[in-house]
Amino acid sequence: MMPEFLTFTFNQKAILAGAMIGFANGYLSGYIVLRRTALMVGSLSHALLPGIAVGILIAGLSTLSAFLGALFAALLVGLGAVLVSRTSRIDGNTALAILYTSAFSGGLLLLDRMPQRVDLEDWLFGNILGLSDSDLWAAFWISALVLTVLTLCQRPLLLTMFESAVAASQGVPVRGLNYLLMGLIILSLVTSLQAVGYILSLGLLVAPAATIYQFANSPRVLFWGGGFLGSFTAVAAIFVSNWLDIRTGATIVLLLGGQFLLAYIFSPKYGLLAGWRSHLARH
Amino acid sequence: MNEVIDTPHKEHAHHELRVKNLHVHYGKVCALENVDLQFHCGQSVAVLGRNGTGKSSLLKAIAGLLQTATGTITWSGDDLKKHCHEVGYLPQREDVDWQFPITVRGLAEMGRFVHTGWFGKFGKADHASVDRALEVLGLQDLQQRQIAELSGGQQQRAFLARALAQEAHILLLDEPFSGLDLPSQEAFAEQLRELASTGHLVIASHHDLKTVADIFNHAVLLNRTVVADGLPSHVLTHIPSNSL
Repeated sequence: MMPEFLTFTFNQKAILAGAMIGFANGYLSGYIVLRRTALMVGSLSHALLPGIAVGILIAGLSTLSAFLGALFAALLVGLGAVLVSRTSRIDGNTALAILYTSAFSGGLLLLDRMPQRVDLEDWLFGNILGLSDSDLWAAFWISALVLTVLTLCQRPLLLTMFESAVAASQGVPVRGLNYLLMGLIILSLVTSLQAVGYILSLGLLVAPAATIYQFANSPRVLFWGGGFLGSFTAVAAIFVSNWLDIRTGATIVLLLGGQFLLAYIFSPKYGLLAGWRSHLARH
Repeated sequence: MNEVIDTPHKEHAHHELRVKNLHVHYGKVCALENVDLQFHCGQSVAVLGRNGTGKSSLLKAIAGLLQTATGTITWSGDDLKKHCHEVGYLPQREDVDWQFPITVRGLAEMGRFVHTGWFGKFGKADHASVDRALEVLGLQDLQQRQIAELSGGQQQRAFLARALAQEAHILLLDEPFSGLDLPSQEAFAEQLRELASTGHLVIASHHDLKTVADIFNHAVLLNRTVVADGLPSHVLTHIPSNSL
């Protein structure tokens, strides 16, 4: 028999959104882990806030205006960091940290000027239980787009991530693919923002593949495994949070973190315990 | 100054790699200037020289990895860039992400991507080519191993397998013997000799002058430009005896 909480439409929508966003972000997390750009994505995700706010202030609340604003802000901060590092003694990471914290603070001030009241907590953890039909459709189409593009470009992306110089010499448009990947990451962040917020979008964009990475020796397993784990965890967290009556967004992040911790310790091949066992066996 | 070396596979000998007036700059630093060279299939070439004399730059320029290289590099009279599938490149050890989740077979399969393209089916012929490459290099039993789980010699063979699966004729190797123990060095040297004898053009940067004549049938001495080019015995005469 169906549990009582599943009879509520907002819970059904939350499960659907969690499954879709969890899958798309989890799949994408394989690329982020392999490119070792998790910290950069984290920084850029904070830089999106003022862009989205300006986009909504200028063109009204829609996925497109939010995306364009976010893209503009990410480019400004990303390219700004490159510019500062090239024209001063400051390195790229330091420049990025200064720029994204400034951008985030600017975004916070802009939140006060939004047509409808938006709490910082909604930006950080989202509100997966308050999604509309159009939010669901946006999540569906953007997840489908991200998965289709990544699947179609899997071979050149693999070559680029493994040895970008060799890929370029074989005619792979390395720079274009890097921009494409960054565009898809920003698109995923924007889509999942409303449902699950910044922190969780970021968690879903890194943790699933990082967990699978403790077991997998194939990029395909990493991508698909990340997708299924992200989807499963998001849905499981909705059930768990309902059962324990705790916040859903935070539960998803904690479950992802817990899974990673278990994999980090107990993975039979690359886990901490396996490392100690083989170290003891050698000495 | 190029001496012609007889090879068992003369049908490949007409494939000629010609480097003309090659210059490579990194910012204001000149790595190579006025390099003219000519090789053909069946040769195994040692690129010699001290650190910073342009050995890696020459290999990378031929592989098409350097945007700043000027000059012409042709393969049988045609621009080499049109034949990128003919070039297999083995990077220096420190340039490889050994934790990348890829097996030996997965690495060899990457070599087929220049033939299958982005969307083409990875068909029977592609699998057969990968099988053949793994067999030639004796890697069948290790094909499911992740690349970090191999010994140094096996890792070099895995990258060679990628080049063979790609059906590359030109094999460019950057310091392939560094970090290998003696038995692995000998086994890998034998592999390179066999590849040259089956019609490949092997070009490797090398620093152990004592083994040059044993492994290679041709040598080039660089000091930003070509100092000597010919049989190893001839080229080694250009190197001070205290370096040997």
